[in-house]
Amino acid sequence: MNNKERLMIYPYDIQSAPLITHQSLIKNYNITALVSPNGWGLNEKDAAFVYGGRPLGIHIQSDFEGCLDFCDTVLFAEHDQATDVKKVILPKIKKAAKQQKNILCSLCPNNEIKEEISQLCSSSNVHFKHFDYGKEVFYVDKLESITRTLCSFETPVVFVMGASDKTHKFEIQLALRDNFINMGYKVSQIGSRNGCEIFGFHSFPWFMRSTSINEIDRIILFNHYVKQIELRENPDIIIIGIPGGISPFSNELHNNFGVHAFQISQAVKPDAVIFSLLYADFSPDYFQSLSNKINHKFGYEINCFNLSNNLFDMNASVFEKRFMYAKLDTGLVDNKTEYYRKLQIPVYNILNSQDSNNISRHIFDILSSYGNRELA
Amino acid sequence: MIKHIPFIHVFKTCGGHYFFDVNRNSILRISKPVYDYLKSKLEGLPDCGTDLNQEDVETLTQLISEGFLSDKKVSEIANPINDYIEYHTCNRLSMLCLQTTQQCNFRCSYCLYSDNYTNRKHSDRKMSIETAKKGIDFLVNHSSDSHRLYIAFYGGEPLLELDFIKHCVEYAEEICEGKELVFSMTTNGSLLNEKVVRYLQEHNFQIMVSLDGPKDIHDSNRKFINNKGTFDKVINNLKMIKNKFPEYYSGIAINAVIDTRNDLESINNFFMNDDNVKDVYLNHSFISDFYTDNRVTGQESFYTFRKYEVFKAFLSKINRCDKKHVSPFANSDLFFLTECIHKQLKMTDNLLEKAHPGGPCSAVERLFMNVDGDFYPCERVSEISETMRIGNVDSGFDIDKILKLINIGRLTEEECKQCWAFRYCNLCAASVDTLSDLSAEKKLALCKSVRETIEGAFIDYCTLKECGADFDNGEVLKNTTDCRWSLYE
Repeated sequence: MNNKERLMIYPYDIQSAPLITHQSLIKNYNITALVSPNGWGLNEKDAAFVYGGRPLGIHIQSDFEGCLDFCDTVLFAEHDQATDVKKVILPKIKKAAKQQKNILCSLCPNNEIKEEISQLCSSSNVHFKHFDYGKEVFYVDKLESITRTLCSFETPVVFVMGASDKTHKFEIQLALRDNFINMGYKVSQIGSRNGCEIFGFHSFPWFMRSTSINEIDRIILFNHYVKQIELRENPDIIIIGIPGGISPFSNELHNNFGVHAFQISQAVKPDAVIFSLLYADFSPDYFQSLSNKINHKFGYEINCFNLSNNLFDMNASVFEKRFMYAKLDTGLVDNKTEYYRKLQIPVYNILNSQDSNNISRHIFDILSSYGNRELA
Repeated sequence: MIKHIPFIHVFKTCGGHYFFDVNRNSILRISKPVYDYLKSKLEGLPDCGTDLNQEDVETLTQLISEGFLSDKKVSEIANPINDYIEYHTCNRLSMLCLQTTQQCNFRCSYCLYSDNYTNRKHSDRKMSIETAKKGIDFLVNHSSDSHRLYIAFYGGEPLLELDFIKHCVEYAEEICEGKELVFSMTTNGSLLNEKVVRYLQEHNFQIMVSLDGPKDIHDSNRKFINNKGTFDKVINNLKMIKNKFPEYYSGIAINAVIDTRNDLESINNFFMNDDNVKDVYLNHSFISDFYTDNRVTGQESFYTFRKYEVFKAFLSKINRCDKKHVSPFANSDLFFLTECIHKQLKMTDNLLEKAHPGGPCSAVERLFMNVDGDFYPCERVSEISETMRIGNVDSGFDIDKILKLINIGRLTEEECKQCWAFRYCNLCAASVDTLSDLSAEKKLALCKSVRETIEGAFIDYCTLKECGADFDNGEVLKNTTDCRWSLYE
């Protein structure tokens, strides 16, 4: 018997696409509707349109009210489009709550709006869950309560990092999770974004984004956070998704200077690393050279690359003062990865289902090879 | 010394010698002997370089070792977005300019609808609301990766069709839910009564009012159908907006079309001193050269005055002239140096194998739709040019035509590959349109003036840098007391 709640995702765009491509990882919900505001130009388009993948046969809709009738819960999801939450999202939350729909929220509304939603849900007698960067399940209560010494790990750690956002890092994290669980391994995981609890793992922790905690304390906290996860969950593998990129693109587009990548790399040493790139016409020797640069900067080499189908658009980015990308057909990426196939460090296309398995297999082989030698 | 001919351009200022390296997209200051050597090299003179001393030779060796002075050229002229044009056309449209009507209550002598142009003519034809709605739907469906949508109303005079505009606004506000929506309009200003302005304010319209200068100058070109001047009407409406809608007034812009046969000094004085316009953002353009044989040749005094005002603007950049004395007609030159030179001079390793000269706009992010629902890359191109008609609201984009417009460098492939101004070229398809095709001959005729403009800009830029101008922060970097020019001390 299927006890899963019927879930509508609103507003659906590239950010929430992994929910649909990895539905099997979602234990408590069946996704029954993908809805976006009409102005986003996605109405009646295939769900894969938002990330340039092969059609999934599921269509995006814009009739929020009409779709409410066919769901039990609405996930108000983080999204890429700059949208006025008060004007566009909040009225929809109110409408859903009034129609007795449970509310999940991975958006980060301000406290005032959050309180308003909470009260409304309470008076409508519906469930409200706000994914707040893992605040509810933070295993380390106080900085003062932990030692300043960094812990080491018994469990192999895999990093998923990238040149910037929009490199399908989250898709890679979910593919690894899916494949390692299917191989029979117990996976602990910290995602590169908020709302990962819906997949059963930890969101990127709130303290890494806190301005009231200094950089050194963040590094120590992250290290102890991962250690606590290792101790409490006793996994076979730990997968850590690193938000953002590793270095500035230009004076205007500083890519947050790769601060998260630096801090996490100080906190935890990975056993395997996947690096995802924006699409470009790379020469074959670029990959080794990038791996060397990352080794100099962070202290580890790259085990495999993913080439995303998003091409950075510098002119549009400078004009818009935000990162802008051209989304290419994933077939173009397949052509490229085929060309790079024989490189020493393999290059994959996560949007290709075969490569999705190949990445996991490659990481598995890397980690297995470590089992052949052991430190005393 | 150097065996090949480097792909560079040499130039000098009063204070220094330079070369622009096309491959590295950088300007480097060099000594005079090195400059002389490189210049001779470019001119193909034999035995050049015999005067170079050891230090000069080391400089050249060092430059070559750092990747400068390469002779590499692009091997194929191709716009970088050719390979993903489908993506751009499907996802990145952001602006739709609607030709509301072809009718106008003015008969301006330089208007693109006047007899001086082959572009179009005034007529009673106007856009139907059905066509407009289809256009707005098209905008929404082709803009999934644009974060803001712009809908502009163009004419004729768009305010002749206020009800049509209201219908469009109502429809767009309904179907563009979830995206920031910006309405704009270029108007002759004659129909801006209180009721209209209140409506425009309520719907956050950005308006640009056409006003060419003081009464005599404005009225010489901009007339009602009955041949009477329009200045009084327009200025009174601006006065009304200033008094009754002061907040909205602060956001409006004026567009002045400058006729170089007029007295720029009196136009300048008007815009700097008249209480009704002095605080309004001023945009200016010159009478269009596209699609006409009637080229306007200005008076020498016009150019002399303008050059002097530009000189003052440059002095203001190095704190040698108070900004309050700078003409709004000269600021555009500083803007050009900052946006089109300084910000574009970003060092690269090399020219790419496939590249296209700067110039063509994307032809897909903004779209002009005429009363029939035909698409054009912008409102300035000819509606009777088959080349420029890049689609229709019913049939969609004509990708082949778009590719042709954004690859005009292919018209003159060999010349473009050899041109040092390759990266900074500003020739767009409209400038080479013959109405039946795009003309290589027409394009080549404009190359000289493009190179002169770019060289002039490089010289101005380097001169200002020598005097301490900082194009990043707008402040002067060093003490400029040794600068030989000074004004208003």
